[in-house]
Amino acid sequence: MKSKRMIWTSSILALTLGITACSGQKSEAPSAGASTKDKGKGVITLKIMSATQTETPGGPAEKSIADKYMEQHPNVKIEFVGVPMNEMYKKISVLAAASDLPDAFTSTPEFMRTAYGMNITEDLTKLFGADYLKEFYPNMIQESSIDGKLQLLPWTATPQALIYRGDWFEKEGLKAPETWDDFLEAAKKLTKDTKGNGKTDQWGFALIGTRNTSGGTRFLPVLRSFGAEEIRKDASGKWVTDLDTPKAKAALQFYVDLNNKYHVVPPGVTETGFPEAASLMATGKAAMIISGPNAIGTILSQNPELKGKLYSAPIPKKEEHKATFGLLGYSVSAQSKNKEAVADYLKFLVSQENALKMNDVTGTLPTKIEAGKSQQMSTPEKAGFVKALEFAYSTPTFSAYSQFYDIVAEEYQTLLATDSKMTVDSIAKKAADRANELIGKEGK
Amino acid sequence: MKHTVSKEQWAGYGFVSPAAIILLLLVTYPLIYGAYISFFNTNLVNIWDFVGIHQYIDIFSNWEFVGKIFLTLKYTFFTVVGHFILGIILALVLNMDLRGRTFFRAILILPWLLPEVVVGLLWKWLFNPMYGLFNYILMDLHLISDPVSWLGDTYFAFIAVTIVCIWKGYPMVMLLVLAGLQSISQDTYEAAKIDGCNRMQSFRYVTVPGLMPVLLVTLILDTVWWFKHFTMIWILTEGGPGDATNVVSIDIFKQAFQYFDFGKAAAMAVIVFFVCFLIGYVYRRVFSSANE
Repeated sequence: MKSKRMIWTSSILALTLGITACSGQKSEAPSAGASTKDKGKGVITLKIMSATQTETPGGPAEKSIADKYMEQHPNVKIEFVGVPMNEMYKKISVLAAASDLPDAFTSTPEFMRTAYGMNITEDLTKLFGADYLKEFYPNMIQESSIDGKLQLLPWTATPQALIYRGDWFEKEGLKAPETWDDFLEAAKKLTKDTKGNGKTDQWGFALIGTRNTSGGTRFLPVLRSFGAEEIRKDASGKWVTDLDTPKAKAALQFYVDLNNKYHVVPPGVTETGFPEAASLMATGKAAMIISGPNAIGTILSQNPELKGKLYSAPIPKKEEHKATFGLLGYSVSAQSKNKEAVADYLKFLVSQENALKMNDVTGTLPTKIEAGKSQQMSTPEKAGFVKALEFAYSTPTFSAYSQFYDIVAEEYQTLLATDSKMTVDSIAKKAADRANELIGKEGK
Repeated sequence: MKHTVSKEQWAGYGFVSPAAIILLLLVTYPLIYGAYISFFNTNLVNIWDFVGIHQYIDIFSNWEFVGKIFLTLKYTFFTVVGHFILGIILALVLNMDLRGRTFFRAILILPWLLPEVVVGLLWKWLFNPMYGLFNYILMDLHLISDPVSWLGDTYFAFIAVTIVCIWKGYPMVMLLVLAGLQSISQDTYEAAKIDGCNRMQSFRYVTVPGLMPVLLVTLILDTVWWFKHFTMIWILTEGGPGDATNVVSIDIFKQAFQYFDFGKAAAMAVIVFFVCFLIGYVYRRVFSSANE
């Protein structure tokens, strides 16, 4: 009898939890299957897998553009499948293996080689035509192409730059940091106890210390600004890595010293990913962050009072400024049955009006030349990003390049971790060994 | 002599076949396919280069993977020991005739009912150095002066992950042991009492032998389950900081879905399968000889 009562109690609890969990879910997202055409009504359904849909305020902005397109094209229905950027590449790989790709999916120059190797992307040079592509910045088209075949239509550029609290800098009499020494000086000045209770509650720099692509993409321009490259071709055309060179070690040492030696980074650095770092900026706990312009939208959506207080500047330098293009766009699936319709929608998406709308809402930079000339690109908020594009470098055409994010992320995270027994020399050697192993495999 | 299948036997095959087909499709086929992939260098779409046992040679050519296996064994050992200590103690308490027993039984199985993702996020917030409850309490009690990054410390991160996994998994052991305790006849205890056994002796000579079959099954299930655990460790630390909590399941996931090296990931998974198989085999041998 007693065990019966126990079973009943457990069942009711389980049922309650189950119902609670189910009620919390939103209506089911459409599956990322191949597109469908409702033959009876002639309605084309485009399935688009979008990383932007999982972000605020980018997701609603993209949705409103799609809604507007559907208003103008009643025969087209756009269904979004939201997948976070950190999960996107995995999802695409799995769907590709199952031959179940959507019509279009978010892609980046870092991933396009993997997708190209899988033969799952349409050649967009043919689909859009060379004349149309002349409206874009040529270096962005080049960055998004393999062997002259455009792999993704660049929609937004998010070059990494330094976002800083312009109002705090002005109050302290500081200028935008040009070198890493300027940066350190500013970070030290802005790390303080604002409440006067003997405890630091404001820090100079929200360092992203998670071991993932998000952290890796932020460290690589820092590494390059010290004159070292994670991978490059030498004079003879062979791939080599600089990860164990003195310059790379200096970059790594400086980066981890910000936390370990100078204490200008908020506690819990290895747990600080982009969302946490953006929150630190939004809540006034950090003065600087390395990020793309989309971070401005994220920060302002959390704290609109910061409008006009966030400035940007290229990432400081030891030898020279560096930035990634941070291109994000859409690839069209080779197996899509509605390639023309997708192309038409994507043209609408990247049009000047919509690109400027995205820029206004999220901060991401447009990829078309005319849109880039707009007045709204010259505010202190965005000028640093536009300038950073001058220092943007191309992603190395190395097939396993995406592994380098993890290689460098393992380096800095190991050294940032409390109680770590590793030294810069030993971790740099480990990173170089991993890189050389990949180089050895390349082309085999 | 010709053997003919009787009607009853056909009926037997008929009843068994749906389950057998489902098992073949959902268990056997993925296992064999996984092993098959491990002999290729593949992206699972258009590249299928046969490399024989090269992936296995590659894995064992350095100590890194072996080190991760040992880290996983260490994590599994502490987690399972924690489950058994907590689970058995709570099962013994809940088996007593105490007031509010049903309520506590319902409360104590809650961690088991919560989804792993929820548990991972919940504990991650508790451990958070800026907003976490643990740091707040410890600082309030003046036990620490500055917030500690529990998940950012190579030593504490492992302990923190193990604590979370013990918290999540003890109810299964508790429930199974409780069921085992209730299946032991009261007559046996009475017989032991008549023979002069005190409570400790009753526990040693009646309870423990009565629980052994349940404990063996629970031990195998629990060990294998937590050896290949992924979700909560990924949410809490993603295998970090550095490699401090980089257990094999995390490594396999990274190989497959971050490095897109599906062949190597499959080879690692095959090795993990054999490790799990070996654990089960050793347990059965050890416990069956102990019973004899």
